[in-house]
Amino acid sequence: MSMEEQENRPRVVIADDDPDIRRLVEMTVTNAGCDVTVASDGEEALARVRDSVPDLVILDVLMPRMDGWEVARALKSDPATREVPVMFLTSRGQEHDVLEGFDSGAVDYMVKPFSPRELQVRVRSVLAKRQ
Amino acid sequence: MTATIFGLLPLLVADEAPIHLLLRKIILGFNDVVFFYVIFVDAVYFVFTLFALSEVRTYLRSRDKERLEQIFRSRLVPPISILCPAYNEGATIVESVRSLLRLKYSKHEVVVINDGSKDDTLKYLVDAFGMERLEFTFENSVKSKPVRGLYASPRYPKLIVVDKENGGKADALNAGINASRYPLFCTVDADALLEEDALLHVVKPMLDRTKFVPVTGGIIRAANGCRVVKGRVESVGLPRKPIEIFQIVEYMRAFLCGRTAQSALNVMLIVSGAFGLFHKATAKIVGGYSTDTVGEDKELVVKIVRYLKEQKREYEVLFVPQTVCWTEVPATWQTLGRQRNRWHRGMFEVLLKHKDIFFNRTYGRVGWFGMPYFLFIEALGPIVELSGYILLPLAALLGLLAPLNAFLYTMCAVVFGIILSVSSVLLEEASFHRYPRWKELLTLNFYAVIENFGYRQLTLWWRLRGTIDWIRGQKQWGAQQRQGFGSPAKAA
Amino acid sequence: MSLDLVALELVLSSLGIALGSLVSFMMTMRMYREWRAAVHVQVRESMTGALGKILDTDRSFSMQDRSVLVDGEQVYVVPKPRGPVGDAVREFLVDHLSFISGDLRGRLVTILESAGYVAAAMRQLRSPLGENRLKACMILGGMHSRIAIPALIEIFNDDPDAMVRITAAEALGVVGAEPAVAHLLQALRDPTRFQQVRVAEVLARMGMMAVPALTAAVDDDDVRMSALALDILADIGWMSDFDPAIRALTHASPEVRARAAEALGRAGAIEATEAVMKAAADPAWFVRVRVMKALEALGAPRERSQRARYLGTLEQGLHDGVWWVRQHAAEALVKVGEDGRRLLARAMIEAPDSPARRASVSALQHHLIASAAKTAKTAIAR
Repeated sequence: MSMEEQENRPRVVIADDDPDIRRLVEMTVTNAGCDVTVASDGEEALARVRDSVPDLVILDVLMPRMDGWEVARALKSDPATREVPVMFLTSRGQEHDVLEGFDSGAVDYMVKPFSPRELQVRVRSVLAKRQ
Repeated sequence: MTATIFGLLPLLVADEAPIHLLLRKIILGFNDVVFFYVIFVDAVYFVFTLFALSEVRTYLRSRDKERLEQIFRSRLVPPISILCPAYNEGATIVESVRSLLRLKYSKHEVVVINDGSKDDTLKYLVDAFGMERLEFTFENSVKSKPVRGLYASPRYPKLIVVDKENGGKADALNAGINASRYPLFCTVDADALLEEDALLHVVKPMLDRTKFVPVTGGIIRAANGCRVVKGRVESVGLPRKPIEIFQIVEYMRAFLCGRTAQSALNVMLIVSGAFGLFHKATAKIVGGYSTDTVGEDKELVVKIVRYLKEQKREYEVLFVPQTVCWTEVPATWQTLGRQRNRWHRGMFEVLLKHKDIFFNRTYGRVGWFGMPYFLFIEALGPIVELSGYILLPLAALLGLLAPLNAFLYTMCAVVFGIILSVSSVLLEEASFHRYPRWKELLTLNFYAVIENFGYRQLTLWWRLRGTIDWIRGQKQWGAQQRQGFGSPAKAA
Repeated sequence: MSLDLVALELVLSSLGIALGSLVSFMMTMRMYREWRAAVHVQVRESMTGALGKILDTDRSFSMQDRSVLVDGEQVYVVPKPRGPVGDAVREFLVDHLSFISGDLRGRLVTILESAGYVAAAMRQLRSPLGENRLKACMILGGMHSRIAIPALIEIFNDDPDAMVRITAAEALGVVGAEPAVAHLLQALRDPTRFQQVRVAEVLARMGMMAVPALTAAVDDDDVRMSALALDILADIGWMSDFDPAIRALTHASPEVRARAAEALGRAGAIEATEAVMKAAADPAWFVRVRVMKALEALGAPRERSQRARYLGTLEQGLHDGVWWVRQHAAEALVKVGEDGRRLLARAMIEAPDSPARRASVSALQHHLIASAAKTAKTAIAR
């Protein structure tokens, strides 16, 4: 891959407290052609986003230190990160919570158990919309 | 030549005056009583440990079989109100509340009761969560001091704050009971830290049994020495101060062994103030918490048990051998002494208030085993044991007892005590093994050994003081000097 | 009898030995555990590598015994299903199966089947110890393998231990075997709430597959059964037929009525709006609460006379004696839109100190539309 292509790879930040899910999502999104940064809780996710603004953030909802909603709200309230699309990864029972909390600014959500292939497709479509 | 009084203690008979003989008989007789009392108590605790061992094993096996988290996402699980009384907590209240809101449970609410704080506790809450005053109406089913206001926030629908006049912890909890809306409630001290899945674990016995379960409790551990971030224990470690480590071993003994076993025998009467889950309707019927006693948490359980026995209803009070709560234990000898003093006074108050339970057939096992156990072993125990420590050396000094024998007797009692302490560390290692480093395990064992050479005796002394103070009729709380989590020590 | 020195020393030394053995036992336990943990870590590392290789579902995947073949080439050999290593492999795969679906799930299940893990668990189903059978059922459920279905059905029908039978039913539910639905409904009749919750959760997760049987179960004679069926349907959020639930709105038991209202609300059964409105006059307060919540979920009808009746029902709810009913009626009115908020504003103004006013105020406060109330106030004043 040429230097230009490398620089143009979309950047994605992923946050989940379960290391298995984290690793899987990281591998999936990397295969989709992105540069992935991982975080194991909400605070770390916010820090990574602020380090260098990514093109997409994928958040688990229930995380220690700061849950997914708090992170999303924090991102929306900061003008530097307001435009970054946020996707939630949520457990089956919490779907309607996410729907109700869509005012925290998510563009999409996926319910666990999820299909990695479907995740790839959704990620690609969100990134494509960005451009 | 040897002759014994109860046929057990050898004594050197010499030509003595009759009064001296009488004195000798009394002292040695009493020594016998003390010695056998100590052995008996240790044996009871040992039996408890065995019970606890089997209970914990059964529990662990069943716990691993169920993916509790997934099950408790279900909406069919009863919702829980968390009552958090707060008095002069300052800024730390915000983080505590945040961590309570983040608990893993399908439906819960957090009811913070501001007990007329003199500092900015209420302001911190209102600012941090964007709260507004609400028009409220709720029944005062249990008595409490007047409520000044009710606050809620649209962004945090799970949180309400009750602002009321100062009335003490029991009073604040009662106000919380009134304001809460769910059928179960649990009480959490403002400086206690709950595990994320605490609610899942303590509610399970209520669903799991065919008998009615009005109260459950869980294991409380010392947070000293652990890394606490944002109201959550992130990593477990041992503190440095010996006084704190002693308490950790003691808590293992008391909770892991003691409470578990009592629960197995269905005689559990004490749910510690730091955490307990209650069936609200039953608590309301017995009038909530009593404000006239220092041991209000213990008393509520006794009241509930009494009521159910009187109604001839089958019930089980259960203890979940799972860590649910972390709390900071006192780090100075003074504060610790005051705390133990208070606990002991509370116990006597409860025992006296409900003295008609003793050996009363209406109350079944609680009447002939539970309450007497607390009286003779927990409450009066210190008196007997301590006198033994004084009289045994005295007897040796007076030449009534061969010093070597006296020493060996003491060593037997002490070693038995060490076995107990070490077994509780073993039980912890076999079950939850929360201390991953070898150094920690060895330290725990070391302290389990040496706690019998001074610390246990010290706690006995404090309990004795508690007994004396109770007899004198004191009723205040001591101020507890507290160190905030991650912030410099501040005096309360 | 006297305890002389010798006896004392004997007692003391045996106590000392007991103590020593306790401590050494503890240390041994710790060492064993650390060794197992190390094994687990190793296995996870290698399995994660393997996972990365089979993640790409564009490339072909197949198994030959324990060899994983991607595009025809061997990329990994799965360890045998024995000992701590086998346990670690199985745990890894089962953990992942709990949050993965789709093609990748199929591949992981194939690995478990081909490398002998499913067969090993199925052998455990014949263990004489009930505990082992129970564990095997759980593991088979976690492995999502359809091969195990016949064996699990057999266990459900014939096993002497009730706990094992329920676990087998759950495993069948998790695997997604349609025949399991009937078995699971049977298991719902269990006396303890906890088992009911477990089974209900499995049924809810089966989703659409379980809906027809659950809808039929609403008509069951056993009140608890009807209530549970409605609960689960509410959870799933759908019904194959609204009639049983509509009938349940007039059931003898208030528990059933309440749940019927909730289930209809969640299923978005707009055609049931009239029936739900009628239930707003229910004598039991918690039924009225659920009715208000259901009306909120169903939304206001478009047709004018129906809409007027809908708003009227909610307004009645504002004057209800019970706080919860008032609150939810107020919430529902907020969601309706302009005419709903106008009703709230009117209640706020015209009934100076009544529960209805308080409910309106708090609902409006909650939605931070006090300013809207002001404009409505001026509008009404005109």
